[in-house]
Amino acid sequence: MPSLQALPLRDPQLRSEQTRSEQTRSRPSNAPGAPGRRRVLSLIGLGLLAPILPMGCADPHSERMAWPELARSLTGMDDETGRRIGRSWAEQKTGAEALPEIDGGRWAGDGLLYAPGTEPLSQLEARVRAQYLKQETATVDGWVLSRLELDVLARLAETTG
Amino acid sequence: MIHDARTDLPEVLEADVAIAGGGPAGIVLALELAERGRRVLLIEGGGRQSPNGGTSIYDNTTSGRPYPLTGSRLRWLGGTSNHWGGWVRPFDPRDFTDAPSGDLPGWPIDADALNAGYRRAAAWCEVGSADYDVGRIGLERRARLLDLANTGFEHRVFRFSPPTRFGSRYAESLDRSELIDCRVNLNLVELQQSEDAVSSARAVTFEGRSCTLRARHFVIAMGGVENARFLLDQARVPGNQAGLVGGGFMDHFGFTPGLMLADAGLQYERGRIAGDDLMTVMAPSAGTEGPNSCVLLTSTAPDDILPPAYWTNRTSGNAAGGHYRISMINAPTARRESRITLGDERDRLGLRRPHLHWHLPPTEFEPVIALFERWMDAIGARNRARIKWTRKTPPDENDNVGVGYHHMGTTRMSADPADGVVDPDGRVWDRDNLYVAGSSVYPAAGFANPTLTICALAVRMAAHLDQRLEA
Repeated sequence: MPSLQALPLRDPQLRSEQTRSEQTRSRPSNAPGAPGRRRVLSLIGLGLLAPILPMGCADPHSERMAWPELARSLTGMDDETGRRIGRSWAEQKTGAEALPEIDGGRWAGDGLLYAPGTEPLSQLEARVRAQYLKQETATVDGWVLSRLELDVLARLAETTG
Repeated sequence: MIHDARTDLPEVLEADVAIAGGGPAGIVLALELAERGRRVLLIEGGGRQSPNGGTSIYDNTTSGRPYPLTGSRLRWLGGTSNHWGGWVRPFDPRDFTDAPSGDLPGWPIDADALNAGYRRAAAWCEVGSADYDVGRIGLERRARLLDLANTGFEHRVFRFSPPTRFGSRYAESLDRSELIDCRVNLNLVELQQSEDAVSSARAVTFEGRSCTLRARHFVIAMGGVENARFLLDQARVPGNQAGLVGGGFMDHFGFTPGLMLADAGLQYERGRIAGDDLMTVMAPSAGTEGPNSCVLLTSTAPDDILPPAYWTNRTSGNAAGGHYRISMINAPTARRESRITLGDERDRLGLRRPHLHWHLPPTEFEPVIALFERWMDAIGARNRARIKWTRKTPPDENDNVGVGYHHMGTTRMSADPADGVVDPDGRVWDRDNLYVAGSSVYPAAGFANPTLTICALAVRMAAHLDQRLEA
């Protein structure tokens, strides 16, 4: 599990997104992206670590989906395959491209931060579906994936296995 | 009755209809005509259960893309049904109506013309049901499948014959029938023709016996290659007013573009679904651009291309993923230059040997690949299934490709004599009483295996001949 120390955002643009208002749609307890360990993490953030984290770097109300978890949820692939594809994609791309904004969620250095009660994963999935429909896909190492999935895999590739 | 012509052959054999070729087309046609009270002569070049005279009679040469012609034909009662895999499916309505991509027109009849034939053909092929309607079967409720809603693709099913070995399965019926004279080990070698009809035919055994066949109608049902070969070998080639006897050879060809990672347990392989023996494939919906090809999924073990992986299951967490090999069966394009011609060498019966030039250019694969890309995007949009290309480019001109051993198109059916060899009833355009039965009359083929349609056309031809005999 990625360290909470990694929560401070590296990207100023993404950092500014933290201040945006969050949606408050309810999410069923069995909704995608709501395994128990994230709840534990959130509670830790609330109860223990939040006071010592710098303001603006951590949201005490946020849950978190690390890159491996996020990549698996979107693509279904194992980490090893995902990292290999992500590295190839990063090599193909010229210049850094920011991940698209997502309501209720913020890209962090090591994954996706989102507030309880939001559904950023389902929104990401909708973006992925739309990209397939619009053929906004690319072939990397033979795999055909949406560009958003590939971007996420590229971030995954930056993490250690 | 079934007689062995090597030991039992009169000088003259007579019937209402003489059929040459004891494969599915010939046997179904004979039994259908006998049911209607017609006297039938059915001759088969091979034996009752073996080739006897040997398969060397089928030796041939090929050019163009490699094609395994020799091993794909069988020469005894039952014909190629003796190595049939049993896949059964009617052609789709669009197979009859879509404009073919080649330079030759498609079917001159629509799918409705074969409805009755398909129902009886299902019985001849011993298929439990003639229903291929995915909605009525309740396929998508009963099987675990990908979501294809609004994708431009839909599920279709193959059913399965046991498979029926037509020779052994219907030997008793042939033997018991007082209206059918079935002679095995008897080879048709020559048609005696008047200006616009066949007056008689000559058949011989390998041992040198000979007899004259007399009938009001003659039907050539010797197979997708042999039908054209036999007609081409005649002094006056029937039906060749457009130079198309032998031309337009087709076979379903395969393409294996990739692998898929998805949930485990998708039910695309042959299996029992709600009591039916089915195999599900995916094919373009009516109106979706491209050839009427189908996509098959086969479970495969993870390998070095697709390493062991888990697949995040939404309800149960990480779970074993499903690894699937993707393959396609493709509708061929009829081309004049893809054809059967005759070589100079002759076989033991004195017939010139066939030469097949199979012209399946790399460009034939381009619409297939484009269709696959559309399917791939549709799958990605509706499902958590991810595809990996393993072959994205067409095979080279001389590369081997998978084929169905489905020999089709060499005596094509047409609405106009200028476009084919036989008319919509299977009658040779310029011979009043000469017919061709079997897959050689197909002007287009979709992706479905040909046997069911061979039988359906034979049923239809029996009704037609019965009417003509009545008149």
